[in-house]
Amino acid sequence: MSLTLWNSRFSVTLLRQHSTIFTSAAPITSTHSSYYTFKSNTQQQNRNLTIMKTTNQLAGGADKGGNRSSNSARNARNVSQGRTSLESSASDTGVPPFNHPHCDRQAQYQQPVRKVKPLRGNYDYDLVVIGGGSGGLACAKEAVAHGARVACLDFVKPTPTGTKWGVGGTCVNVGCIPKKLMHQASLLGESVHEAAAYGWNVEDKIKPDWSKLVTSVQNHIKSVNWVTRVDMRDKKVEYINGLGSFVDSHTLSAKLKSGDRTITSQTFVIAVGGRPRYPNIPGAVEYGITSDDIFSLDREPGKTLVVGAGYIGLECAGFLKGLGYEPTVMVRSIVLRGFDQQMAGLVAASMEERGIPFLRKTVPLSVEKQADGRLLVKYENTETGEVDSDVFDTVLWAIGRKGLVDDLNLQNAGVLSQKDKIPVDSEETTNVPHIYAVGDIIYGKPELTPVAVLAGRLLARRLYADSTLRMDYADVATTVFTPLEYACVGLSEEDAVKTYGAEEIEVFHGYYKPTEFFIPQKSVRYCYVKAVAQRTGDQLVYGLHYLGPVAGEVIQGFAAALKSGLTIPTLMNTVGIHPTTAEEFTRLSITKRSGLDPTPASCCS
Amino acid sequence: MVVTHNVKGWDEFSKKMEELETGDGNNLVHVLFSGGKDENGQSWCPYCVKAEPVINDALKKAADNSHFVHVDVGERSYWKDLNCPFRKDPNTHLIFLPTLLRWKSPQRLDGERCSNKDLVEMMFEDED
Repeated sequence: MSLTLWNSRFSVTLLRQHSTIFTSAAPITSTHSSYYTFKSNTQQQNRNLTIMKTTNQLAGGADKGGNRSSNSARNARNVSQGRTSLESSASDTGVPPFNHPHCDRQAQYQQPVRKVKPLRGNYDYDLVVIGGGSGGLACAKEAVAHGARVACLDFVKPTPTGTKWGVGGTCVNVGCIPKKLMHQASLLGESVHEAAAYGWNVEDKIKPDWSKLVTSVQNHIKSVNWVTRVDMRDKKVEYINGLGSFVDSHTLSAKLKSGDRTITSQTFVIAVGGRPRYPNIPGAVEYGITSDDIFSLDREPGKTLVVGAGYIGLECAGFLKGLGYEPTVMVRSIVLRGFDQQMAGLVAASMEERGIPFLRKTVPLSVEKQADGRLLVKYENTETGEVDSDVFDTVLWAIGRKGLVDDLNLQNAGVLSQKDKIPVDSEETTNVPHIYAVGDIIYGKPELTPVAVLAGRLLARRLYADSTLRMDYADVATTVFTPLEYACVGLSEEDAVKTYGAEEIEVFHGYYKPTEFFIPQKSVRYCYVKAVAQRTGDQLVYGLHYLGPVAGEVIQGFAAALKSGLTIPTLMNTVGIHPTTAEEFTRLSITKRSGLDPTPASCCS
Repeated sequence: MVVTHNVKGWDEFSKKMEELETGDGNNLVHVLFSGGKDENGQSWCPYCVKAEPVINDALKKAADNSHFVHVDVGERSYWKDLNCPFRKDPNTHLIFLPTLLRWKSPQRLDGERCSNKDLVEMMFEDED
């Protein structure tokens, strides 16, 4: 208990400092630093456009979808989803027509940002943000800082097993934050074992205390919830703990504990996010849990079946293994859909090497509770049709997430949805001009906290400050926190090939051996980096991929380099920091095309 | 009404908290840590001086029969020592004075926020 509180104290301080850094710039220094930021970003965007044009010429025209940044993995799949109103205005400016406004940066930036004066209308609020997660809160706070009257609604429906949480959204409560903490717990266990090789006298048996871990993690989350509430109160965002649904396009009905409340607003931002899906099989909802439950589970997970091999499934299986439980991963088709598939294969292999079995081409059929309380899962191999079963203590569904459009009564406001998401244009506008959406609820964009935060903040600045800067969804770096971490930025190899053609792509790659892995004799088999680049001309780097320790820390800086137009010659002229793993990017000399062996001879060759 | 307790120094404080934890079963305890006062009743800690009236006023909003412990941490030199038990104890883990917190709960305000009426009232009323 005492350790717990120390932790929570510590984090409150850190968080507060962070939030100060994030938010204070706007009201105080807007004339200087914000202006500078906007200006330099605009230059950056123009610069990218120039790079893009060059690329197109070299690649033989714009008909391939041209610009490297706009064709990131996720965008490329959505080219056909478009809004015709913007198409026509695009052709007015002499730009070739396109289908998806935010997939074509050139056309997007040909159009001026619509400037409206959405303040002081005859409504209760200037802005109501539906959803108090990363995106919604960032947008609400920024809007207040620029003089808007803002309310933010947040409401969490409990999971089927009764788990619920406070304000702050998925990331803080049931996502990135508890995930990273449990991942850290798992890595620490590994470190203790390694410590012995480094000369520490470590007791042979270390064992995890699940309930203490959960308490620590939950206490941290509760501190963050508190800091969030304080921050909202401090910044004069009215927080309404209620479930919002549209009555008409300017009216919302909020379901509160104390009854219904009707709220009118000039502008709305939908930032309701998503929740995990359950499969439609017997026993799924009654006996299964999801990532919404695992971080506060009041019992040890024990032998766990993780169904789904997206990043959430793999991360959960990874930390459960590290904590000494026995996870099994069930994969319907492919691992880490949407990510570079060579890297995905290596991630899966590194997990198998650690003793996590993968049931491939397998789908669950049913979950039954046995007399002893354990769960009997029947499953089928989709290729052979063979049915098998096994008994688990926990079944965790990680088969995907669903946007929370259902409770919003979008039709009352005339907002269109696509499946369970909401399509928006390059200004985060839905088909209704005064209703916007940010975060996981928007269609076809990376579901990542920092993406939502920046999109929300930029939206508020366009609405209530003098900004015209739009969110750039391309080249967003991300990390999968599996035991051996995977981070990437830019295009996957297959998307680069799809966009530019295999002949126009050069892939530099290499296996490497982290210095600190030698003494404890940790496996270096899957430590691997690759750079996907333009084959000729400037040799622009399209994508960077890294599998190894502290992957997020390694890739973050490279993400800035890539966004600044990083080229292979620049990378090769960068002096590494020795001995690190990040320096491997400066040592990439072997191309896939050469067929040379990418495994290193020794540590410093 | 809120039950108010005034204690001075680490020993009195830890004894009081022990007593309250085993006491009347009302576990809702708010604690204000502030810098000590000299013989003229002047505190060396300006933010503590600023916070005190705001907090005393907001105490009306605290739950009936909940406890409020006002802790005089001591002299400036004692507080500035990084090994000061108020800093080291995992339950207090103070970094700033004043700090207003709900005992063994996530709710905590420090520094200038302790003199923000809105936030102090929120601390006393918060139900999560």
